[in-house]
Amino acid sequence: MSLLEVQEVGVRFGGVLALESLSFSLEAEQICALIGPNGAGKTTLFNVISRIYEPSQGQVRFDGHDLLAAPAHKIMDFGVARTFQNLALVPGLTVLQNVMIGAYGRSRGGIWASTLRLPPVRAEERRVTSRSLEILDRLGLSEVASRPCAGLPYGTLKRIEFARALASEPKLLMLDEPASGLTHGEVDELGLLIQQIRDEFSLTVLLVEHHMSMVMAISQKVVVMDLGRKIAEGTPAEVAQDPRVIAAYLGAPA
Amino acid sequence: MSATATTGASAHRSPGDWALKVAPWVVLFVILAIVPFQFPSFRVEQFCFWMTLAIAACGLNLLTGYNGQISVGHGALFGIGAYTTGILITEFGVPLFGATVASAVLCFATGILIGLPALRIKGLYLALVTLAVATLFPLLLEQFSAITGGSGGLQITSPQLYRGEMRERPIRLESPVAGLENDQWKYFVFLGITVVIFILSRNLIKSRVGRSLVAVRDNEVAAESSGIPVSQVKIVTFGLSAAIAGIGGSLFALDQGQLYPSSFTIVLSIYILVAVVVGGAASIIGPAIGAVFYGLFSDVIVQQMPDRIQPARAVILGVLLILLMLLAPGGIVGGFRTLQAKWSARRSSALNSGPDPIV
Ligand SMILES: Nc1ncnc2c1ncn2[C@@H]1O[C@H](COP(=O)(O)OP(=O)(O)OP(=O)(O)O)[C@@H](O)[C@H]1O
Ligand SMILES: [Mg+2]
Repeated sequence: MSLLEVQEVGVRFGGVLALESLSFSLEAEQICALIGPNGAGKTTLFNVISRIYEPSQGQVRFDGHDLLAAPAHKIMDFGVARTFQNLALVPGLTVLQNVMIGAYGRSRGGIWASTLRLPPVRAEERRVTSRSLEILDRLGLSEVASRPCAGLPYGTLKRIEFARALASEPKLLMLDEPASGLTHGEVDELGLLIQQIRDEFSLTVLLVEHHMSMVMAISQKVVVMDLGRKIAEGTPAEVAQDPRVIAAYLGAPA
Repeated sequence: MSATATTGASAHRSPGDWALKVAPWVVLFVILAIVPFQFPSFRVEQFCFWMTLAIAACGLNLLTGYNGQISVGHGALFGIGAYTTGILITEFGVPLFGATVASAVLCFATGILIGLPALRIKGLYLALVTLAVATLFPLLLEQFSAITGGSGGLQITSPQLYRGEMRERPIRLESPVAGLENDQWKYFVFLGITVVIFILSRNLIKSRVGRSLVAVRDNEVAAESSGIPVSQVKIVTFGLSAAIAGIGGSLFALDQGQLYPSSFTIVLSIYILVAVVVGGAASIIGPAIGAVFYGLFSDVIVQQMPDRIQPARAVILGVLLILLMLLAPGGIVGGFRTLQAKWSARRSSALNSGPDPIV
């Protein structure tokens, strides 16, 4: 059975149909790319899955759970983590603390125990700290661990979000344009890193990205969207030759 | 890999930085310990009052500084704590400790009630709701004069042994230590409670829960998608913040021995908020420093000013506040941190450790 199943999801903003009866599925430990021109509805789909937007129709099932029946803060519990296209970091916290926020749902310690700094709370704090530092280290961010996020380069901030998502020990990782703001060399490097991380953490990855070279190089499956609808789906080689895809990207009517 | 992993966070902290961190605390505690012996009794009483406000400001800081919810109504919560303590002691003979705990619990519940609308409304609108609470509170006290004593005041009394028999007498803290006057004893009791509350709130802020407060303040979407139950965090923070303000109020009742509605007007709420902002919102010690500065201004400096300019004291305070906010938008603690950062940057420009934003 597929890990993620998106079934006939529709989202409407006033007169705009941001998603129109979108369906696709995702197999475990795949890297699946979601591509399409600006405004195709890719980020909207992420927001549906993470329960930020309420779809007007459809179903989303993940690992046996009905995601649309759960509140937003439960989605991470099921094993879905994401990054944001326009960054959603916590400027009042250090880089390390931001990553530790990702581990919130995977750690314990309530108000009273924390207030009294009981030994289990301290042990848990040490565990989460060293785990988060490991992740930062794995992503090459050790240098900035104790810095506030403010003032760091855009690419670094995107990578901190990546680290935060990993800290939640996800099964499905959704990356919204992780390569934006990177140079060509850095893009290739990031593609490699995503593949390695997928293998190390046994992840399934849903990737939104405009850098086609990276998409073609690392994904097993590509879903192409335009104007809220799925216009093609298949292996990278298949979609690259699809006339509808070529038309959508060139802006001509399909 | 693991070598960097375990040391990364605090690797570049030299002994000099450490001394810089600890020295102010040592100085502070020495000053706090000798203060009650250097000032006349009425001043020591004032210091006790400032401490009750520092506690309330500490509570408000959790809410406003760390969780980003503005309340202009903490004076009312402070008042609920004070009146609950007063009524429980006078009418029901509840011992002081029990009355303080009960006040905190009642304020927690009240805070949750005020926090519920805060889920739907934000920013200035929330401030307006809390403003309404602050405005209504003294009116309610007068309305329910049967239990609050109305504008005639509530004299807090407890049964005490007096000339060989039990009588209702005004409550006070008797010093059990030979060399200490009653007011000095009260000072140290209040100081102990204040320090404990500040340490506990520091523990909370530095924990997983504290990080969730800041995450909710800075980015609700990020918080929610990281598994933080945003609504629950907001409501519980409101309750907790109210409970701490209530403890401050409870001590205030003990401090004053009598309560009047006129002590719990909107002015008190603003006072508490100003203490947070002046001291430095989102710094743990900030509210205490702010409370002392405000106390110094209104109880000491204003009294020294010539009578002619007395009526203008609100204007003077306002101008001072504006100046402070221009010079140090992060309050006194914020300004201090900036200086500290500049200083250590000058000494070691190589390493950029930066201030820890959650302290
Ligand atoms: N919150 C919103 N309110 C109104 N309209 C929205 C909202 N979010 C998205 N839309 C609209 O939905 C459509 C899809 O937007 P979306 O952000 O999902 O596109 P995208 O595929 O992520 O594009 P890009 O590649 O530029 O990030 C657009 O027409 C956009 O204007
Ligand atoms: Mg997008």
